Amino acid sequence: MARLGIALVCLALAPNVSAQASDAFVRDVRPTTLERGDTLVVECPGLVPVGTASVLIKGRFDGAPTLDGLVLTGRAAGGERVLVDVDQPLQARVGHPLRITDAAVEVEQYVGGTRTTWRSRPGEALTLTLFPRTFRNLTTALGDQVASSPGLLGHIPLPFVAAALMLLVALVIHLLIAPITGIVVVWERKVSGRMQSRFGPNRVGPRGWGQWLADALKLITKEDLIPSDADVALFRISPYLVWVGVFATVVTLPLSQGAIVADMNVGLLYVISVTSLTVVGILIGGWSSNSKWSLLGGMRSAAQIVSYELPAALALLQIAVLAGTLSPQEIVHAQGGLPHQWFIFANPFAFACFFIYFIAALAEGNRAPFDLPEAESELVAGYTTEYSGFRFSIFSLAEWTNMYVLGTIAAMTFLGGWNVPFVAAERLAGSPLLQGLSLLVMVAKVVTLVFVIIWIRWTLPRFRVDQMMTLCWKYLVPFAFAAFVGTAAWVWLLHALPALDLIMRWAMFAVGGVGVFLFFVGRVVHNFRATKLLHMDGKHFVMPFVERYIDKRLP
Amino acid sequence: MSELVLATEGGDEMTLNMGPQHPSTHGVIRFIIKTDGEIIREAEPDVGYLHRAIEHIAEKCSYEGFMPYTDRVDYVAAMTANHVWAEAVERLGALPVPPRAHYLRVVSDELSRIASHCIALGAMAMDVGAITPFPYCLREREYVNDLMEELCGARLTYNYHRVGGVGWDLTDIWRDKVLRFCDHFDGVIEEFNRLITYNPIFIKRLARLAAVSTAEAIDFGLVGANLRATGFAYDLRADRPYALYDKILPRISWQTPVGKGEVGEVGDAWDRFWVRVEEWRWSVKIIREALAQIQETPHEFWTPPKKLKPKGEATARVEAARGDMHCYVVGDGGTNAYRARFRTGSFNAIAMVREKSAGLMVADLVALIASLDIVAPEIDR
Repeated sequence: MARLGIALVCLALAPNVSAQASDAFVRDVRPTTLERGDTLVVECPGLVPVGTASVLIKGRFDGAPTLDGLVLTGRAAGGERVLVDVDQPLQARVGHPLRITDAAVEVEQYVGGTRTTWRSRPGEALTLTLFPRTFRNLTTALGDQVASSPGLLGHIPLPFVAAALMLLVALVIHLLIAPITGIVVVWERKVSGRMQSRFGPNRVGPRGWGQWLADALKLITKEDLIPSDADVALFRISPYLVWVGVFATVVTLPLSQGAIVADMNVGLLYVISVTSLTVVGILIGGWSSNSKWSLLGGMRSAAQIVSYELPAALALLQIAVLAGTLSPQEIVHAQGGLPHQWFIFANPFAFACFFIYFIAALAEGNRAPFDLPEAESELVAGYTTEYSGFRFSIFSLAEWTNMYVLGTIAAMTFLGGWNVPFVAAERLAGSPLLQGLSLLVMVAKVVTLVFVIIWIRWTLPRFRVDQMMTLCWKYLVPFAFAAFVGTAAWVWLLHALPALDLIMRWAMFAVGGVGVFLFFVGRVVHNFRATKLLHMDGKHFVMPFVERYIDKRLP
Repeated sequence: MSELVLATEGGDEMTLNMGPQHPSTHGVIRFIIKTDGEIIREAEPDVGYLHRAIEHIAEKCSYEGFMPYTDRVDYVAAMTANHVWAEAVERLGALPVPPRAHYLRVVSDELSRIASHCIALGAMAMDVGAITPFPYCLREREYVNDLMEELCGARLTYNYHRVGGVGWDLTDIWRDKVLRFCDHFDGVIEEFNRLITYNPIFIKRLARLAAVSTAEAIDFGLVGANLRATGFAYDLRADRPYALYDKILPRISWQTPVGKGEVGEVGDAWDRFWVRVEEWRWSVKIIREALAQIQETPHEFWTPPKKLKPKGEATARVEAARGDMHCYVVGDGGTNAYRARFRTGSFNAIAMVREKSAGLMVADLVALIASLDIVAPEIDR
């Protein structure tokens, strides 16, 4: 999404340049300096790298001076690919395959004491794809663009340009996320309506999909009540902390191969740490409301979120072990488009970790069956009891955005992210069509996970406080630790027997994927057969529920 | 702020005021709770918010004129309150009741029981946090309400029973619809069990929660499903038959459903839930059998009393949705009752809350109140 903003800015700044941008494979709009920490992918057909490898690149890049033996450190990226860290500046364009003439690449690695070398044959086509730190690179790129433009623009200092860009990106994120959240809210209400044999919202907008706008408008126009004897400053600041805690995670979550705001190399760690900011907001909100129900809700929330961060982080740690990186884009890149290439099916421990993460993330996001902080049948509305109007709307906005965040993290880390089946990740960069496809794949995965979250919420009862704690500390945390050791052992085993990887992946896919799916379908069929509900329609029955009141022509 | 923390009596305890407007108090009831964090030290029910002096109204209306007021004794299951008043007055005046009226009373009572348990079980599931069973139950209750509307013109406060019979006869179409509903409802019970009754989280929440022993239940005067959940088989329909239950129950090989402690202790909250689910099953069977037997009765459904000025006193007992409902009525030879008295299940059940709540958590208290199936107007009348 940042790229969109950048592209718009580029268009405004240099319309003559953007015309050439479609010809990206051959010529660059403007060469960008790659810096330390950026990543190259080297495809080496015939070699399945494991662990780290050293890569020697000789040759001449387009428009760049000859390289005399550039030695880089790389690591296995799944399949016949090596991820290479750039440790000296290279001239290339971000996200696009680089053409090297007279190239020679050597990949060397030591496995179990033996040295394996892979050399590219002379004249063979080589693809080196640069993986961008999009945000930084684009900021720099735009800064360069502005700094080198003729006239007044060229005199704007770079920090100001960067600050303006950050503001723009923040705006784009909010403009994008707020509607997504709104749609998730309407969708949840529609799904719950279907589950409970009633209609969901169906009046505002086409088939009720504009309901979130009406809700937001109503909440904004309401009075912002502050209870007497409340701690006003804390009471006011609490929704913003919750808001920041959820929205800041969006920065580093990829939507597609190109659409990411900031691909940080500590992305996963950042997501885990920023999420905990919400607990501060909730605790402050519960404390400052001067209501005992709010206080109880805040206390429950503090205990719950702090506890469940542990299994969530431990589960995500397996991903760091498997991918060898914390950067979201590289994690996605280390997986593939097909299910057996996903991390969830990498080994049994990762499979278990997906569920551990999912449960823990549900609890962290205060979603049912862990919605104790706002349990309406016990605590009226928990920490939001005393909030009204816009402040309340921010709480709910954060809660539903969190569903999207949860779905994205799970899809990114365990379910292959934006990888399109049968298309190598490097090829996505050049084609807008494939970019769109990768966006669709990602959205489909997130939507599925969000649906599961909604489904769980409207099916299960709520845990009690002590049961919730028992589940976390007696089951999830020990299992997550055990799985961590298991994954580490498995990765170590793969160093010795790389062939096991594919066997295990297919086995896990057969058992974990297909098996679970078939069991589920069988269960559903069985339930349908076991229960013969008569259709109580108007023909057979007196006055059927609902239809009497609602015009059938409407959805 | 400082008041919130410091103004707690007795050091560690915090006083929580739950109700009268709280989502889970099932009407206007208030509980004064003393908690230590999440753990309840003491919960004191404060009743009386819904007192409408119904028994006093009975002294001011004629015997027939009081019938609509009995709907308000327990508006979730109004039919049984109708029944108990009609039966009490009939005993007081030694009035004849045609057999068809008895069968209609049985059918309407059982439909009313199904509707009432829909609210009880759905609300209990919702209090434990599962929201979907509640709309499912309400959907079924709506079908019952539709049937009731067709039978007597009202969906909530029926005013169907009369002194000496019932207000209207059934039609053949209505009978078919009820039978169809029964067939449908059998499947609903299975679905409901799969959805919530045997849900592991639900069992975890309710098993061993506030188990009541039979001796305790008798001491506190618990009746109905709350008493049967303790393993004590006592049901007025079987043990002190009224209307024509004695003709119906042997034909369906009746066994009073009692709590067995299937997932925890006998008499725990889950047992109370499960007993009500079983009562659904038996109600459906009773309705089927009553509708079969009603075909053989003469068409007379109401013998309106002439010159109703009874003297003396009478008691009637009916198994209502919330258990044994008594009505004691004294006539002094006038057109009004000299004194009327209703004894209802919820008033005794709410006493259990104080007894059983010490040591529970706040979330458990909500489940306990729901499991006792307390309906606020029935407590206060």
